[in-house]
Amino acid sequence: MLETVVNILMMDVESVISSPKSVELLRCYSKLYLNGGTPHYCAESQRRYYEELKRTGIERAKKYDMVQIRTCELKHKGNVLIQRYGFVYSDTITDEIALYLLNNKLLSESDFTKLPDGYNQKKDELKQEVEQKNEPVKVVKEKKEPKKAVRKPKN
Amino acid sequence: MALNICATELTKAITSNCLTQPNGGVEEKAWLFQRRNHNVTFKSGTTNIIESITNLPTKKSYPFIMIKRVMNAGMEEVVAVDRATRFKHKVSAQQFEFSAADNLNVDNLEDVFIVVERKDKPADGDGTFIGFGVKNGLYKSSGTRMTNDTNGVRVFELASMDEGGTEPHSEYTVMAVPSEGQSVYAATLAMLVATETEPK
Repeated sequence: MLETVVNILMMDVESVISSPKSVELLRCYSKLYLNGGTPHYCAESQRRYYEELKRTGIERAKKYDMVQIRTCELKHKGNVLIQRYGFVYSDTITDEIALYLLNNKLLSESDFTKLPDGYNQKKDELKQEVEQKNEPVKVVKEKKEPKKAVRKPKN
Repeated sequence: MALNICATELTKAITSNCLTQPNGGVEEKAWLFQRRNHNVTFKSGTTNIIESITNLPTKKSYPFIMIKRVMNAGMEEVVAVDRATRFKHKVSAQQFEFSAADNLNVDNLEDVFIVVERKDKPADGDGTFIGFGVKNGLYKSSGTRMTNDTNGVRVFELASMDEGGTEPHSEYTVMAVPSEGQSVYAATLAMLVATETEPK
């Protein structure tokens, strides 16, 4: 994504609009700013998108590229409205966010087709801790000495 | 700072004639969701098509079973000269049951959203299931029960809250993504029924 943004910004805005690069601009803007939503196609909008890319595009593209190396994958594609968190987009959710949502029970394991790295590890650690705590304490029974036969005193 | 263009545009023709005239009414089962306990996935690139509703752990939806026209659902446009147009979602219904637990249940009916099934069903399933109050929730706006009136049933209305609690769309279309060979209707119905049980 970073390469695409740099390639667009190497050209001036009018050349981008009048060339096939305009499709790239729209695609790029949609991914970086609209969570995959449909952008406006008019020249005025494209100028606006170019300006936005110029200002924050590089930064966003870097973040976007970082997201691509994530391990988690949401089951449902699109914008997920998590009522106690906000919107999460299936294409840009990071492992960090996924872990936060899972740990705070705002998403469940069944919401993912692939869980983020580190989630199972954490779970295993917790499981081990619980197991350690619940390990039965071995009670060392003292061996009872056999009772010595005591003669009853004769009356 | 770039201008945020809020102007909306028409994208297709509107046909209101004998071919498109719909039938009113909703089916006898609707689903009530406590808003904060459910996650909603919108179709990529849209904000008014819901593809999935899921439960948070240990939470579930509750069906509202009714007869005939016990439930009525819709919206009212909120138009102002200095604000974007918003939509006040409204659902009116009747509570027949009257045990202490049933009364308490409806007394506590706040911050919910609802999905109803239209009686009129298009072939592609688009618009059959519709959601109200999904983003900001519905709250009781009125309620009445008089023992001598309407068989003594409780009549109540849920609505979006005024002053910012309204919704950005007139209604939300709920359409699950069907698996191969499945219809949109079947997929959506299955998804809604699945929310009635707590996730494992």
